[in-house]
Amino acid sequence: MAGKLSAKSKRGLGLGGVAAKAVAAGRRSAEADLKVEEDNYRRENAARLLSIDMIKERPAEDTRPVDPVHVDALVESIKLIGLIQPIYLDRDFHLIAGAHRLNAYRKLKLEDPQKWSKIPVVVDPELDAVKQPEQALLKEIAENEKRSNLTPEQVQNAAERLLAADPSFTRKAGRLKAGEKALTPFLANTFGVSTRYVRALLNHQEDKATTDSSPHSNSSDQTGGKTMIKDPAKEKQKLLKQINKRLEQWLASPYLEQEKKLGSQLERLQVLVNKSLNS
Amino acid sequence: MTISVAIGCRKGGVGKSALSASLASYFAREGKDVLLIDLDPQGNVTFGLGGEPGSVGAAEFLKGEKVAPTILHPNISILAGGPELNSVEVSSLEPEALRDLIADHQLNPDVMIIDLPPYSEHLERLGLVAADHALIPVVAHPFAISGAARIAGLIEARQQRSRPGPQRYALVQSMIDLRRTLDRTLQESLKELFPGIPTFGFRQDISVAYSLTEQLPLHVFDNRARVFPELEEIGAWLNGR
Repeated sequence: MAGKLSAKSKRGLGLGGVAAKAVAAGRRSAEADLKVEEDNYRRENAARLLSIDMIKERPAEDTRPVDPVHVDALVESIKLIGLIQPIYLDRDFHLIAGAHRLNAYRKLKLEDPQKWSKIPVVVDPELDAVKQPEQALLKEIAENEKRSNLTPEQVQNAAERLLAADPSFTRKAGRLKAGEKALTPFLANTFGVSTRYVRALLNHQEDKATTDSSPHSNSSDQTGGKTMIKDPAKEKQKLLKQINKRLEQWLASPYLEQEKKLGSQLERLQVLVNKSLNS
Repeated sequence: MTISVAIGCRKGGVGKSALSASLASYFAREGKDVLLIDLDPQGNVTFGLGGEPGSVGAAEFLKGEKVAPTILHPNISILAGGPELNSVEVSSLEPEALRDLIADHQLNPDVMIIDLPPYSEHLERLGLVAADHALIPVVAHPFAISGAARIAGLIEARQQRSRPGPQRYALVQSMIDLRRTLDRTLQESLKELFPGIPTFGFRQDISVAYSLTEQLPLHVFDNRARVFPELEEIGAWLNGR
């Protein structure tokens, strides 16, 4: 009996081939375990909450640079009403679309880690951004287009629902009374587009309702089709305001060493623009 | 910097809880501040160190309640294990829940030991993901080796996908009885079966068994127990030495 045992141990493995088989079985089960865990995230493209730390950067470069002003606007909007559109990830949790939203969450997490450590995501089980970079780019563009090419009806609907849900919202422009909230900028933040664009879409819808224009008048006319006689002095003033705003944006974003000279010149230009605006 | 280690092997009865309790005692004996998180619904470590299984602890912590660890010894505190760990709320938590909660509550002991349960993948995952190291106790039995490989596979898969979880793991042959041939050859076999993974020994020591029945930390029961040199080796590995 003792002879048998020592003969076995001389073969190297006290447990014979069973041990190697057991290891193989264990490894296979580990794969299965992990698949169950990951499948929970991939379930039918349903939005789920995922810890921000698990999200990996895009393998390719950002197609649009992240605009800090837009991120700050999103931070405010997410604080108020949460994230409407989940960000889009590939099967290994690489970011496909939603860099601004993710950056907004990262900012929020610094403020309150407990509340903002998880972000709504949709994981695409078919997409592998490392192996299929073109696919990833197409999905990214498609997802972003979907959000910025809003139809006037969508914006109008959102506006009506907001007005019904919260009476403190107002559509009127200009100075607000205490307790009033401006509707247009809010919608702009929410949908990730400019205030002007939202206003144009809302006006477009109204125009259609009142004048019953042709159904295909999908023009991008920002004035909403209204014919107005423009005062040239006012137009110039408007342009100056726009220039001022753009300058502010440029100056507020971090700039590189080699842009320093340009930065100081733009600063001087801004002073001039401001003077002219205030005169 | 907290040293965090999860101890588990999927299979039951391989000395997980004995190793967790003894390692806690080793670090406490070294003057370190030790936090044990008992993720076993049976609460064996909790009991073995003098706590009350089922008292407010790990389950409530996981559910997000404000829970302070129970102090069992000047240097050892515990989030007690208990049946509530099997509750629906705990089962529906995401894999990173425990890791996130530890960070949120700013629990910063010198050493954090997470005792993983047998047969509960879900709790095991919560614990594994929360730790930077893992120790896998294993005995000379095919089921134990298969369980060890399963955990090793999970850890490696997480590493490859750069998910949170143990960056290093080691095997610990536990309950070694040198009169048994299989026990004498297992450590060599483990080196072949898990190439490049450190393997440690943790012998069968009557002091360990007695200390757990007396519900005392090992060093309080027997400060010169024979396993301390072996625990020291494991401690050195955890310290990165």
